[in-house]
Amino acid sequence: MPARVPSAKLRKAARLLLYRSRSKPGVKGWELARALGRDYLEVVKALNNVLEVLGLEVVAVDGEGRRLDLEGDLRRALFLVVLREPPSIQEAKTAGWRIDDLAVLASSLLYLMARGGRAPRSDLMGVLRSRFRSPRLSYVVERLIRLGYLEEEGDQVVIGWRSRVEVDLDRLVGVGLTPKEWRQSQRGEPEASLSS
Amino acid sequence: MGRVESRLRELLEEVLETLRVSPDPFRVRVREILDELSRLLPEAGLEDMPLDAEILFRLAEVVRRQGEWIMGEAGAMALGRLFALLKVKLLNNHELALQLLESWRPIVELEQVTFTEIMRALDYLGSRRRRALAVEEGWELRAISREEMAALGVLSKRKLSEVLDKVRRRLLHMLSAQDVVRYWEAVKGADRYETYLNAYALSHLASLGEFEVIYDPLEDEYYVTRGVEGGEPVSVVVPLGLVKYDAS
Repeated sequence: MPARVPSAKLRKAARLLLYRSRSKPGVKGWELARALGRDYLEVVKALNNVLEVLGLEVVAVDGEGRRLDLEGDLRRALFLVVLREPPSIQEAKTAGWRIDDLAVLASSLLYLMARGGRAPRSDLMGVLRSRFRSPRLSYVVERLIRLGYLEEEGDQVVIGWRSRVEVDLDRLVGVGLTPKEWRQSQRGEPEASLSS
Repeated sequence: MGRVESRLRELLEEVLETLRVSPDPFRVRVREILDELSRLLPEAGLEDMPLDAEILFRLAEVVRRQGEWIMGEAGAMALGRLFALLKVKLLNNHELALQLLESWRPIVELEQVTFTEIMRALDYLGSRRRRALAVEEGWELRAISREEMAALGVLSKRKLSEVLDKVRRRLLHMLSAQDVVRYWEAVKGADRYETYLNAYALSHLASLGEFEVIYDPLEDEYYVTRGVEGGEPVSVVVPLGLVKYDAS
């Protein structure tokens, strides 16, 4: 149960976390600590209770985009507000995403996952061109790079930080099961919960 | 109880306790324990041998479980990669989008103008060419000539009708030798500005029905051919963002 937090601190935390202040979204833990005080994690937990009603959640991620528990020293972690549940297709469209663009992102991530997380740009574009005939393809890929969903390292394209934060890549790859769930089901472990 | 027996019991206890606390077989210090057993063996008596054998048996069990874990992990990884490639190949755009949405929890943020962006906008506006003639005595209200408007960048010095004629003549010449020409060859100019101007002229001529722009999705290439009388008019979008064939 989070500690009782003054509402002024909650409002301040919400402003810090929701307003975008630089090109890359998110606020560092040390920035929150400086603005909210030493008990910034308690404030974040209390804010999470408020945001839950709105279907939002504050998460902390490390440099690789892995989710971290809201415990311990998180001054180096990046704090972000994300949706608690996946958006519907209509909500994605309202937010400016086209179905084709989402399909390009899904294909890019799946292909990169199959190649161990990175692939030469020419290979990725070859696969995408074989699937998508749209003359917008190059534009869409450039946009995904600009937004951080994909990243370029020389002539290689890698999974971007934003995809690692926002997308459950195991779930995207698996057929209804994450690799962990699949392994559990193979071993017949009782705690295996099969998601749809 | 001797020193060796005591230590052997501690090692056995450590192996059993580690396995009891965590199912992860890699948590057991297999190599270190084996090294210690080999050091203890010369000092061990006959009565210590069952204990030594028990530890070795438990360690063999741990190694077997480590092997199983590695095989299972490699299998899951290979299967995951196969699933990924199959999805790219088999799912249609709508299904791919749905797959992504099911595993997507996008970042939420509020856009606003930052101080940096305001300063950047001011820099941009300040560096733009001024739409006014500098007059030493101050501001003056009067009509300006075409030449002055061209100097200010309001009007182009080029006459569009001349550009249209030039592009038309050039295309007819090219199409007299072949049925189709590549779009970029058709609009290629001496510099980027001329290329864009030619492309604009060609789009006008195509709207008049004199020429037709065709897109080949297999080669991702645009072509120009003669217009067909009574043909169904279609709109074609040609991205001009990357003009890689112009002379500049």
